[in-house]
Amino acid sequence: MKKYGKRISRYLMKNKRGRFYCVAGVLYLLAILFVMNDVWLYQTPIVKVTKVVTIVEGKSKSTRGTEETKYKQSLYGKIINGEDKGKEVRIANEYTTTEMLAQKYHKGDRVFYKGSSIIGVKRDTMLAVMLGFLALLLIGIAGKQGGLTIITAMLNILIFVIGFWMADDTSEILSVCSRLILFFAVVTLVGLNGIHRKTFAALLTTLCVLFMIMGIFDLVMQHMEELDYSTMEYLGSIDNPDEIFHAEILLSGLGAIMDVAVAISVALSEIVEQKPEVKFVELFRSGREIGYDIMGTMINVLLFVFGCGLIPTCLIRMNNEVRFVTIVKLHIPCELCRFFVESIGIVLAIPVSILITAVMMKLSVKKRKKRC
Amino acid sequence: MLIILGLILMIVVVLVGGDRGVMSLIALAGNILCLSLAIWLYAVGAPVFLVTVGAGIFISCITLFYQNGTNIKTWSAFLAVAITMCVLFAFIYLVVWKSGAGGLNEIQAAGEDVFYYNMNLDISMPKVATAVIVLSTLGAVIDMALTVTTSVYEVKCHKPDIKMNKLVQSGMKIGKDVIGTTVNTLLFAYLGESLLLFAYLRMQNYSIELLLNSKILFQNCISMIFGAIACIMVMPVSAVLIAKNCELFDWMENSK
Repeated sequence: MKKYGKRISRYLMKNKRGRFYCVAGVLYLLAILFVMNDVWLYQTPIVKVTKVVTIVEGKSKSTRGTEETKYKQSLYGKIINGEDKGKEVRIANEYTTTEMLAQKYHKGDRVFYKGSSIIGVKRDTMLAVMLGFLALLLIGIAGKQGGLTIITAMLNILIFVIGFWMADDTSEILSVCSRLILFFAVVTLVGLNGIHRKTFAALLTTLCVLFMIMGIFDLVMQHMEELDYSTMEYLGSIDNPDEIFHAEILLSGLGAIMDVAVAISVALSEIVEQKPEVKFVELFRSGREIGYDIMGTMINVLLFVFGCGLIPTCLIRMNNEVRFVTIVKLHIPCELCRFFVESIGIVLAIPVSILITAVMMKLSVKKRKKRC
Repeated sequence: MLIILGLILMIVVVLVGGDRGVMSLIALAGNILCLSLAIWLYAVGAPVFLVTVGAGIFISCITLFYQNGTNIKTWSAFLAVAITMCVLFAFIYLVVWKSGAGGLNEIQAAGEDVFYYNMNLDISMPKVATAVIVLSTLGAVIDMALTVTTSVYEVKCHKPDIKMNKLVQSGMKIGKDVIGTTVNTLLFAYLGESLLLFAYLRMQNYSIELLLNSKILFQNCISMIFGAIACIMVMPVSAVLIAKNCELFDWMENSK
């Protein structure tokens, strides 16, 4: 009897999971279908390209002296939304082999149409497909932890969007950002680790380290010549670049610093739980051992994220007779500076988090002993 | 300014990390060199995908074999990274090609560079965009693979007679614990990157529908999404590989 009960319950468990995956998969497909057919939501006219005629228009010299071919495209299509629905249009498009500013269009592309030219490609379908795929993968492979990850990430994005919607203009971006940081840290740490002593240790570490790196950054700034913010990418006509730069440093380093803090505080609290009489020095030593492993790889992660974003603009400059050294000196000091400050933050997070976690865990153990 | 910050970084790394801190500094310098070399090669018109694969292999070698030694753990991690990235490479190119995400984004194209510089480089920008995504996910993927293989190896050392599927399971469990923070690290890195952009777009009164479909948002999002996908996919691959390799290792020992 017991055997059968077990088997049935196991089957139900499996079935439940199976049912859950089925529902998730169907939801995913429905979402994609919805986004594919959401043109009625848009106010800008959207054209579906039905026929493309491409001709070679001519050849010119590229910056390195090689041949660059110029193409001319005539796109025929139909407007599929709004007042002019069903109207046939013809759009001219020009592009070169590099496709730097203008791109090649294919049959079936959906593009935004204004005046008589294309102002953008409809990319939301692809975005939905990728986001949904990521969510499915997270739930499918990482299970409950994956679900939690999705929820915290969504909450964080929500906070980000709401925070910037509330701020009227860019003049108070730093104060808004520093308040947001607190929310981000609390949501992420509590969401991923639950309410626990080690979560508070990680939270405290994150805030301390952020405070420290901003202090170091400001100190260095005060004693050295001013950083030239005019080299910052996307500057446009923003009138308070230094505040935005501070906010950028705070935000983009946050994830990495939290990562280090969580790794160390979780590991150390595990040790204290297994061996409540462990000595402070031993804790410090094992914390350092863990820190060694993370430090290098975390800095590498940041390096690639930042470094690779610079490739396209570097390519343009290097092909226009700007030397690599000049680029480093004049064009990307802001990016470099941010990378350095954040790496310092990652490294500092190791001793700070060891100290805070050890003190907190030790205190709690002592309290428990007294109660006994 | 930069020199001072760089010096502070060096001192802090050496103070906290000691010998191994110095090693990770050297590896970091190697990676920066690799990246610069790759950019230089792109700029002189070398085939983009070939350079990307080469740079990827070099960077993985430096990070894995130099920093962590040549052993069964790093070899398994290297193989896992190679397999995952090969599969994703095609995927990434497909997505970039399909959505026209190459080239300069709206804000860069509105900048003054466009007037000063000649834009006909004879380098395919969609391919460069693919390379950018591949290389920027690489750091996180290597990190993930190494975490899984190291911990599986540790389990194997403590319990030598453990079954293979148990090993794979323990690898996945550790991966699950790490994935949350890794995804958040990537998320915040890109949010920080796009902060200026949001400020800019607010000033330009961009409408939401155009913002959601803009190239700039797509480029940032897609890098983050592919980074996360790569990290998740490398988890099972490296768990299986290290378990298999451990078995192979045992078998070789026994046959001797």
